[in-house]
Amino acid sequence: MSTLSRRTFLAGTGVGVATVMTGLGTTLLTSASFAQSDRNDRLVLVFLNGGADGLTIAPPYGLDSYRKLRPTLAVPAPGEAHGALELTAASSNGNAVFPTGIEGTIGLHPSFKPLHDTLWKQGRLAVLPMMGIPNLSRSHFSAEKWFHHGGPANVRRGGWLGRAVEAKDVDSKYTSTYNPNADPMVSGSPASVGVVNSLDRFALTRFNDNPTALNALTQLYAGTDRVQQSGSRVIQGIKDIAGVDARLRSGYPRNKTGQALSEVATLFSAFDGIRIAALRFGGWDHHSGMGAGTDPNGRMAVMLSQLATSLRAFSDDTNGLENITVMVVTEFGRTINENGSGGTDHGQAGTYLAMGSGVKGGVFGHDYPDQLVLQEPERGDSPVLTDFRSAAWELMDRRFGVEPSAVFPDFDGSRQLGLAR
Amino acid sequence: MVVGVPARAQSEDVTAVLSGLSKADSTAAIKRLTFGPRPGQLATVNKQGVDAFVDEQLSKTSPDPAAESRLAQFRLFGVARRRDPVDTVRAMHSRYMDQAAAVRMELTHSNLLRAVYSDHQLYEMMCQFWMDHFTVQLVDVGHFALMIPYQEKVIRPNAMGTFRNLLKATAHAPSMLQYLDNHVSDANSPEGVNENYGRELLELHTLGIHGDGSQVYNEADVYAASQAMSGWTVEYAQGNWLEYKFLARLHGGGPLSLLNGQWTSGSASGKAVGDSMLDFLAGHESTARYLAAKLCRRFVSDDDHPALVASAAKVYLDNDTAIVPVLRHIFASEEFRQASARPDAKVRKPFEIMVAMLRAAGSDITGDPHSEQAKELAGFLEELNHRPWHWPTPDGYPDHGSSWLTTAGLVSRFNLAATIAGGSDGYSVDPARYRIDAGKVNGSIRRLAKDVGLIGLGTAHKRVLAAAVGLQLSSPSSELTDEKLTTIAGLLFAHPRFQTR
Repeated sequence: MSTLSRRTFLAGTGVGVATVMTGLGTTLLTSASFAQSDRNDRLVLVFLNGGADGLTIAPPYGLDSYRKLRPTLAVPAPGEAHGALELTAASSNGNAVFPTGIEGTIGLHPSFKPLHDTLWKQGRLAVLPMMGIPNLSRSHFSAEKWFHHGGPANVRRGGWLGRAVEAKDVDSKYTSTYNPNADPMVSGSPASVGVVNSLDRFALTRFNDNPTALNALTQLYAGTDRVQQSGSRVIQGIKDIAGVDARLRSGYPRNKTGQALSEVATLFSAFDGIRIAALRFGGWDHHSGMGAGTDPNGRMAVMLSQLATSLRAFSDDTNGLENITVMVVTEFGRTINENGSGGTDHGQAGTYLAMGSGVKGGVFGHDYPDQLVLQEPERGDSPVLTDFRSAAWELMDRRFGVEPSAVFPDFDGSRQLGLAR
Repeated sequence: MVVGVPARAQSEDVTAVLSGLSKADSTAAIKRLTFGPRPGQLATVNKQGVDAFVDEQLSKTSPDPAAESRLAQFRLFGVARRRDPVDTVRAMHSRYMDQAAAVRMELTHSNLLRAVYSDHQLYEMMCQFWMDHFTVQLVDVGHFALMIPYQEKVIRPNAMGTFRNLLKATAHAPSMLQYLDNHVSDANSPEGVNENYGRELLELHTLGIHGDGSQVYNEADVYAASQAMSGWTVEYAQGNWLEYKFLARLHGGGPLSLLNGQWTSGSASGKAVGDSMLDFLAGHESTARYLAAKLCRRFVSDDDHPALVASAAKVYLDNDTAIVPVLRHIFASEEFRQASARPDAKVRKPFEIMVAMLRAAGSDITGDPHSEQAKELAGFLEELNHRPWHWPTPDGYPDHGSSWLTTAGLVSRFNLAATIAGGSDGYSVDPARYRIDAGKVNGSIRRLAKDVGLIGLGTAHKRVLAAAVGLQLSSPSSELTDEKLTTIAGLLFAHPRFQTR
């Protein structure tokens, strides 16, 4: 029985890590092509698959409607037992900015304490409520596809992260192209994009004597046709990755999220050419049993805690996300009102997060009404007020050094959020 | 000692050049028209003559009964095939959630079994071709089970027939109508028609956008095509099973025209408008060129072949959209012969390379689509990102080598090579076939290379393979343990020449 399939099933249960590199191999091990400048941040995209509930991530505790529509799921206000973490100028040591009227009405779920204690106080954590994509299908599949490609017009151009790497004009000898073999976000563009699925999988694992087999393949692939050239690059990559210590780095929790972020940190420190990591964590489709808002052991509270402790470890490991921008995203948010099963159903806007040395602390978004969640709908969604491409556009432009119109050609990103430093 | 192989086939110098073609030509033909040789098959084809082999493949325009008999254990295929009593279908639907995984397994495994075992190899290649041309993403269709009749009754019976019939069959298929939203297209609603199907019908199924970016249709034509197809929808029939239905109240009516009046709906009304338009589209010159270009890319090379595309398009139109004459024309072309001689002209897609390995290894694949082995093989395809009916967009799995020569993809191929060559689940190569009494390692490697289709493997590479297991070409063949032989087979499956067809 092979272990190949077991790894596949593991990936299928909702965890995957795809790391995009603009280069690989010895050229990059010795490369100094990426000066530490403002426009050379690395990007880590964390995709919460299933439609993570934005109103639990960032509870609008200041609204009466929130508690009314979520009698059991509402997270209590700051100061109450298991209450939300305050998002105020004071709680951030004056490092956060807010749209008018928002401060003090919205907080962070208490599971985010590891990040609130650090990145929020340093002014490196941005909360982006009511964000999403203009796809109102409420279908996981349709919304996910929309998100990965950055809109239906781009489906045949591949994933937007792959396009971003392609658009980043780097001096790289790496010329592999278009990659359907990876996560759709990073695949699909005719890009100089190499993808490492994970440290464990980017290796010869099935030959009895892997170093000898690798040596033989090196000789068999010596040559100049396109197959030989692509293979030679991959073989060199396997050799490089083989020299990397894949063990869980210290400080990371022993769960899938911790493992994936530990691998990203390892790859970032080993390879200057690796500029983007895209991670996917499943299990956020909480139609039932989300857990009471007051219960620190509720299902979503525990999942958010795993996410936050893993991100905290990653942040501690990278000097507070120095020159790294992390975005936490999902395909859609959920209905405002809770259903009869202690969960919520597919909705529209979610809450995204951005963090790192390149973002400002605070709450950001377009067109907030006087309060975050308008009115008191009997039943309904929070509408998408800010297209996620606004945030991605700004980060591409200001932090990643990529012309955003090359990534989102059918989007007008001129209206800035003021999110990037 | 080798058992069951004619002495003649064991000889390296079977020279059967009946048609004046070299052995290299027959290797190229067999690699291009099939999923790869089975052990000993190259010698057989050399005896038969490559022209006769091509002719034979072109004459096999329906499934190979011997391969079909391997699907006897496919429970859900049986249901879909037999038009079972309503109760069975209803049970299938009501237990839909339980059945979803089973449907996926049967679909995947059916394609594997047929590709590995069918002697009608070109026919199976064409089935895969049309599965991409008329792709439907399984998980985007409400009822997974609908994909079984789509594959069995829409695509496969028409794979080497006429494109006209194939196009019409897909246009009536609930899977396609659902996938591209035509089932909800309502010309009489305030929003008007849903253009999804109409657009892909012109862009991907028929007229096409050509390699140079040109197209003969415009947005007005997309709208007209969508109007013509409005009303082509699905209904619940026979115990919640979805079937095609024309609903006049969703239909927009005419008069409609396409391409500046090259087609008009004329006096037709209702469903006949769509039928008439599909007829027109199937027989249009732009469709002919678009299909010819795709077939050339499939069987010749990734490059453009304007002259061959033009002549193949003419053959298509002269034969009333029949597919086989077009293939025959392409296989007889100078472009086909020249490209076949190039080692990197066509990269095997993951499904193709896995099948090539299973064929070359002489693997014994289970007929139980729900077995552990079947699940493992499906898992490999998923890891390689080429599981049948899983491509997310309406353009089908890409057919350019650059799409597949990717970092993660190649790593997965290398590992698959070692897994299939040395797997313990019945798909390992048979080491006994390659230990030659009183022979040398050189002869063993040569026989193995020939079986997997790597004819003419150079001495330098044979030396590398021997060294990888600590031997020399002059070492006695008897020193090749099972493990050493499967390692060599794995390296051959990972060899750059094995990545192409």
